Amino acid sequence: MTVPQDVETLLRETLGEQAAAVRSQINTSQQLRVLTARFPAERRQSRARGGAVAIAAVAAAAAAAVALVQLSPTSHQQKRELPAGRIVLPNPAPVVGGTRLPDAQIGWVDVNFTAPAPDLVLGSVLWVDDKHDGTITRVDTHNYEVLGTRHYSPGEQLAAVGSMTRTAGIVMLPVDDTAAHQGAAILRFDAATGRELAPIRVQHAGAIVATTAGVVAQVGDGRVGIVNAAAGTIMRTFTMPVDRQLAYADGLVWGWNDATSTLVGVDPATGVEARSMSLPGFSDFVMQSDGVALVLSESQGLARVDTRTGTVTATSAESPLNLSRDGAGRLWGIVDGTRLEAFNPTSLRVVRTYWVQGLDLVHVSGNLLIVTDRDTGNVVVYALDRITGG
Amino acid sequence: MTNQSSYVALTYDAPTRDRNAAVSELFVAQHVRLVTLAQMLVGDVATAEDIVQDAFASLYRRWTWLRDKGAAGGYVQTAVVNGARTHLRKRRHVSYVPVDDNVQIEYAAADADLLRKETHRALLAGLAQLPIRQREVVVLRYYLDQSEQEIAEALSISRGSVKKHASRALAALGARLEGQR
Repeated sequence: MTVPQDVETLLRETLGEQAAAVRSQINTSQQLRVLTARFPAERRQSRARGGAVAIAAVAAAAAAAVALVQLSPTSHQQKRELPAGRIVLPNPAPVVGGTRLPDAQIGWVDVNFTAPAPDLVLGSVLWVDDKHDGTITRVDTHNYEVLGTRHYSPGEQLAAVGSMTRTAGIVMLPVDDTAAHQGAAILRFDAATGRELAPIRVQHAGAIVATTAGVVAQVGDGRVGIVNAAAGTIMRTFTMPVDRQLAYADGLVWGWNDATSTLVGVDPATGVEARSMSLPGFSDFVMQSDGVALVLSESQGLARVDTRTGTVTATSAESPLNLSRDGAGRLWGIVDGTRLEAFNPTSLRVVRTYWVQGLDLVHVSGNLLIVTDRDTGNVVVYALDRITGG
Repeated sequence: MTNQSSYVALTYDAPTRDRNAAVSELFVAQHVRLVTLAQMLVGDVATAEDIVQDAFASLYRRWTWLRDKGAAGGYVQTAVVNGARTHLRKRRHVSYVPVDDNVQIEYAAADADLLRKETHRALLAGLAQLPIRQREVVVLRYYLDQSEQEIAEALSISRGSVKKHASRALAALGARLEGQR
């Protein structure tokens, strides 16, 4: 037998073989039993959603008055651990019907990105991190011309890349390529010129957050450090759980322990764990702080956790890929690539829904609402006031 | 003893019975195909089964509002592709490696067969390195044999974009095979 040269023929042959191998592992009868066991709960949920849409105004009022779920009444000034177990969550906030996205586009970045993330706007410069191609591109938001592109080379596209964070005139981007034996580092760039500075080598990198005590970043497995961004050094390290993200709320740095589903708050000044709360079914895929509370991913969508009282005060059945806060406090996210939604940050009620196609991440800065278009690989910029009508 | 199906028949009203039966029937008809599709996108069967479960649960919730019940198959396929994409984007690493490295190549096999297996492994590894959208287009095109128009509708993108993604994917995979030789 000779090996066919045509890639298309090879692909069909390869995928056919792969399908045959997968089929032998599938048990449809067993999976059908799993599905039908879910039917009663799914039916209740669909009834609830239908009712919520039909009586949106009433439901909105009810959502505002939703009872708090007290996990523990202990003081937030002492370390406390909340018992593991099933949490009874508030009902999901209602979802409003969608409308067409208004004609509010004011620009787009003419770069053939693959996996762009519009992480940062500094003055009139938009910083776009392409997590697949391993590039940082700086764009002038007056005319959307590219000011410069730098490659940070994540190797075989296996790098885990954090979000760009700015402090003291330095932009930092954690990159971890330890899986490909390329090492981990917190890359540094001059915020004004985009010039690359010496990176900070660490054991593991990923999560990073700015706090009043300085920038806190992951530097190892279960270890974070206070970063001196200007000097390019780690001043002090301490242990705390860290998974995808870190957040800063109520004077504490919050990290997620995925093994125990626990949210842990550590005082960055002392490195001492101050609070922890067990949140089964949650994750830090989305972890957005408003200074006091955190909005976290939960298995059915989003949940708002008050970090002072340890209560889950609101939930939403919507699962955006990320959230970005606008000047009015609303949280913006894109759900299923088809809905651009604005959430009330307290009730998590969806206050606006716009139908979109193929969008991905969103970042709001001033009056700019920046989205990534995964169809074209472009970054598109909208005027927020034209979307919301003022 | 009452079995599950008779319990359903005795307890639920007619619309519920219809919904249960219709979704179950579609599940049986499409399950293997959709789990295989999801596995090719995310790389492992367990995750693929979870994605397909969630897609059918979503279909079940929305069944009452689905105007064209005949479009349910397309709806659930789109839900599976979207679910796979969301899963991949939630992963820490940008791509995955679906090839089981524990599988040993049979060196006793004929050279041609060995070469063929190595080529297939290289292609699967190359597929895993493609950007998500390109991977979706390749799997829909070369596993499900869908037309450009069907892929465009399934992914809510233009036919031009389907062509672009397919062309880039084939170029990348071809280059990978060339590099292997």
